Amino acid sequence: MLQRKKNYLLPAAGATVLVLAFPFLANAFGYTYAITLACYVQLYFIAVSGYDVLFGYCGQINMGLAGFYAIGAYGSAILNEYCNIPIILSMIIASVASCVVGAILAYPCGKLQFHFLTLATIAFGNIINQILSHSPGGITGNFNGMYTQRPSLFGFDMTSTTSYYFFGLVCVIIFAVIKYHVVHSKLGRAFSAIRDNVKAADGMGINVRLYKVIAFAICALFTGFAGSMYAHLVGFISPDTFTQKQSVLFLTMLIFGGTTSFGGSLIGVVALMLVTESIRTLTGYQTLIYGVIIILVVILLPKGVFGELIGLKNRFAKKNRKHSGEVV
Amino acid sequence: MALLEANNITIRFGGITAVNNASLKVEKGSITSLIGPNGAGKTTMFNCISGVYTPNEGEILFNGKRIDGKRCFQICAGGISRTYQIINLFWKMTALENVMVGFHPRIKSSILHSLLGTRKQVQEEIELRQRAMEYLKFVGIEDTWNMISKNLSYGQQRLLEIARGLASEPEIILLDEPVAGMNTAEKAEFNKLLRRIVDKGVTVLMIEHDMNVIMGVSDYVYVLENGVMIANGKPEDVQKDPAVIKAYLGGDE
Ligand SMILES: Nc1ncnc2c1ncn2[C@@H]1O[C@H](COP(=O)(O)OP(=O)(O)OP(=O)(O)O)[C@@H](O)[C@H]1O
Ligand SMILES: [Mg+2]
Repeated sequence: MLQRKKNYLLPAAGATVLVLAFPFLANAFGYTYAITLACYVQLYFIAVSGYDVLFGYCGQINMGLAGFYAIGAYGSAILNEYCNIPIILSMIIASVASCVVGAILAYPCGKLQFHFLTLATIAFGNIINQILSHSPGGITGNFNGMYTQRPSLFGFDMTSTTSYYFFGLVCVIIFAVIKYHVVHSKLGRAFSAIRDNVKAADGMGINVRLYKVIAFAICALFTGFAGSMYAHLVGFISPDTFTQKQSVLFLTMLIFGGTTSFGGSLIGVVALMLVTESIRTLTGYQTLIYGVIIILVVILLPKGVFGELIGLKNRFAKKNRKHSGEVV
Repeated sequence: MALLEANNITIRFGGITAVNNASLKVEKGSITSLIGPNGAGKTTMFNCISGVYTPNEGEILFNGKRIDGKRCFQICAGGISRTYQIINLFWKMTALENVMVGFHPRIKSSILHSLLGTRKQVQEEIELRQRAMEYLKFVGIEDTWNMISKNLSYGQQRLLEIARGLASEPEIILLDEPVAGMNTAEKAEFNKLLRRIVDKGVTVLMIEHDMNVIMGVSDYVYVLENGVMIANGKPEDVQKDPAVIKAYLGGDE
C-alpha cells in the first residue's frame, strides 16, 4: 500500500509542477494561444464532469446542455453589465440560476424514458437559443451578441489570460472536490442505483424522482458555471455558440474519454479540443465529425479511452501477479 | 394488533382478477408463509404490500396505519423491505455496494452534508462500509464483497438480496421464493439464516414452493389459489386441508 503511494507521488508532483508552470512556459516560447486553449480545457472539464454525474452515474441523458451553458454565460454577463454585480458573484448567481432551471426542467422530465428525455432536452436547448436571439428588450444583444469583461478579485486583476488560467484552476479544483463528494456519498450511490435498476432503487427506499432532479440540478450547476467562465474568458458571446452542436460536443467528450471518472473527462476534453482546433476551418462538418467519433468509440472502445486504459492496466497487473507466482 | 394486516385485497389487471378479496395477518416475530400454485397471485400480493401496485379494493395496515397507496420508496423507508422472485440487484455494483444502497433510507447525513463531504458524513460512510460487511457476513457471503453482483452464483445473489433488504433495518422483510435455484446444502443453510433473521427482531413473510422449507420453519401458512385465499393455519393443519391438497395435486371432483 505504502509502496503504491510512493509510486504515485512522483508523477503527481510532476503533473502539479507542469500545470503551475504551463502558462509561463507557453509565454516564454511564444505560444500564448495555448494558454487560452488551456482555459477552455478547464471550463469544459467542469461542464463534462457535471454531465458525468448525470449521464455516467445516474444514466440520464441531457441533450440541452448548451441551454444551461448559455444561462451561465448570458446570466453572468447580463448581471455584470446591467446590474453592476461584481463578476465572480455574477458567475455564482448565474450558475445557481442554471441549477434551479435544471431542477425545474427535470421535474416533469423525471418520468420520461430515454428517447423522450432526449427530445425534451433538445427542445429545451433550442428554446433557450431562440430566447438568446429574440430576447425581450434585446437584453442579450440578440444576433449581435454581447461583450463581457474579465473578473477581478480583491483588486487582483484577471485581464491577462495567465491570471485567468490560475483563476480557472481554482474553479476546477472546487468543482472536482464537489464531484468527488457527490460520488462518494449516498447521492452517488443513489444515482448509480437508479442507472443500474430503477425498480430495485425504488424498492430500496430511494426517491427516484427526487434524485433524478438532483442529478439534473448538479449537471446544470456545473454546466452553468462553465458557461460563465466561457463568457468572461472570450470577452464576446453570441447565440452561435449555444447551439445543439455544443451539446453534442459535451456528450462526445464524455463518451470519448469514458464515464464515471475524472481521467475520462480530462482525456475526452483534451482530445476533442485538439480535434475541434484542427477542424476549425471545416465549419458545417464539425457535428458530422463528432458523430463519427461517437459511433467509433461506442463500437471500438465502449468504456471510453480512459476506461479501456484502466481495463488494460488491470489485466496487465493480474498477469504480472500470476507470473510472480503470487496466489490470486 | 398484528404487525402487518391485509384486509380484503382485490386487484385486477384488465380482465383478470389476480387477487380476489384476500386477507392475511402477520404477527410480530413470526415466520409466515404464503404458498399456492403458479399464477395464484402471491407475487401480486407482495407487490400490493410493497407499493408496486395499489389494490383496487381493500386496505393494508402496518402497525395499525394504512399504507396502501404509498409509493415503494416510502414503504421501504417505513420499515417493510423485500426481495424479488426475479433477482433484482444493482448489476454493475459490487456486493458490498449493493448492501450499502440498502442503507439509503437510514442514512443520517443530509444531502447538503453529502455535497460538502463534512467530517460527520465521511465518518458515517466509513461506518456504513463496516456495517455492510457485517450484513454480508450475516448471510454468509462476505468473501464476495468485492465482486460485481452479476458474477455471483444464483444462490449468492439471492442471499445478497436478503442482505441488502436487511440493511434498511426493516421491521418485516418479504421474501419472494428465496430458495429458488439454491442447492440442497444452500437450502439447509437458508433455514438457519431464517431463524437468525427472526432472532434479530425482523419478522418474515415468505413466498415459497419448497414444502420442506415451508413446513420446517413456518409459524403460520396462508394458501392462495387463483387469487383466493383458500386456507390458513398452522403448517401441520394446512397440510391436511382437503382444499389445499386438491389445489396442489390438481385432481378432479
Ligand atoms: N402487471 C400485470 N399485468 C397483468 N397481469 C398480471 C400482472 N401482474 C401479475 N399478473 C397476473 O396475475 C396473476 C398472478 O400472478 P403472480 O405473479 O402474482 O403469481 P404467483 O402466485 O407469484 O405465481 P408464481 O408462483 O409463478 O410466481 C397471473 O395470471 C399474472 O399473469
Ligand atoms: Mg410469484
